[in-house]
Amino acid sequence: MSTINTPDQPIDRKDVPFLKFLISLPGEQLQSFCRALQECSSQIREDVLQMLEIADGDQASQLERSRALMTIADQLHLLPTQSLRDNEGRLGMGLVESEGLAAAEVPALAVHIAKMDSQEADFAERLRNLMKTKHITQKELAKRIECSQPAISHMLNRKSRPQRKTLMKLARALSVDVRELWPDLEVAERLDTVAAFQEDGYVMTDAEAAALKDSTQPKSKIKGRALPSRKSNRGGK
Amino acid sequence: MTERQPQEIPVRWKVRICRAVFGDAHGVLPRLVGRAELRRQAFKLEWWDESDEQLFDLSWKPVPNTPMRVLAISDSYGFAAGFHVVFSPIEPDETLWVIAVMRSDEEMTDAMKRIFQARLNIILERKDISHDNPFGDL
Repeated sequence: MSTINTPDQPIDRKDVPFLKFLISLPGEQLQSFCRALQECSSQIREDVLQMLEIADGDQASQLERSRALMTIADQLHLLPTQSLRDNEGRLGMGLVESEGLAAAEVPALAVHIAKMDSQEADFAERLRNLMKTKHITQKELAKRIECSQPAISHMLNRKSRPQRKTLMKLARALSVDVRELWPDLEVAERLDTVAAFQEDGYVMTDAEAAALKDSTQPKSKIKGRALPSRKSNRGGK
Repeated sequence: MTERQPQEIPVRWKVRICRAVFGDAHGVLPRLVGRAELRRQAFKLEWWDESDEQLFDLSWKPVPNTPMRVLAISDSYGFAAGFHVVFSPIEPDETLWVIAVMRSDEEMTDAMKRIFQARLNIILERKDISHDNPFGDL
């Protein structure tokens, strides 16, 4: 149930984050926020206050804070709605449809989605052939990699993209190199490693550091002339 | 129609994403390609079965004392060594709502649970409201 504080009532401690938030809003945004808060249900209003309390808390992590604020934006219709509603006008977005819509907006993503489709088709074909060659049934393979038979069936029918660890298990179960099932695997891992290096505070493992120091490459035969040292420059003067 | 179907045919869920999840996904996975890969894994939720702890090659578990479940994806996409997709089935719609995406090393704190419950409350309150006809049939 919502209540309105009058000047005679003491301000409850739990309302402080809300008041601080209101003070921080510029005029026009304050108006639209208050309007949205008035129009929503008492349940949503209560949740908004809880989210403000979380966002304002001293112990809240950055992720908790951003998630709480994002939730408030959704609660009070402050997020852009047009692109997030489907033709039925329902809340949110269908997961499958979201892929198509994202691809329509970003051409690079459409290329990647086509690549994922082709990888999955190629994998299904390779897995089917290997199973045929090695005379392994779906049930037997499922038993070997400790998953269900429908899981294998879905992979063969391109309805389920395997995880990397599943590919490893499949390769072991079929006694083949994992690249026989998924040739792009190594490339994908390398790209991910490169991306990981760009993360702030990333600490290199000993193996990664050793790889960077790789001395197996032959030294260049071109000999450069040594640059004059500072001392010799000063002496020259 | 449903009476004629054999019982072993599993329910195929309609999977929908709550709007705030788009913000989560941008936060935990800044690379567009990584988000596309993660979405492909989440597609498997269409065949989620409450009686089976495995969802194909993924595992899931309930969040105690909440209607939420967590799907664990072990694949890493550059910035994190795995992800958690928080979801909740809404019956009788046979719709499964994705309400959050987290890095697998993130802790599900009480504050997080409150945030996700608030997201679920939005869905429960507005799921039947038509955008074209918000007042329903008169």
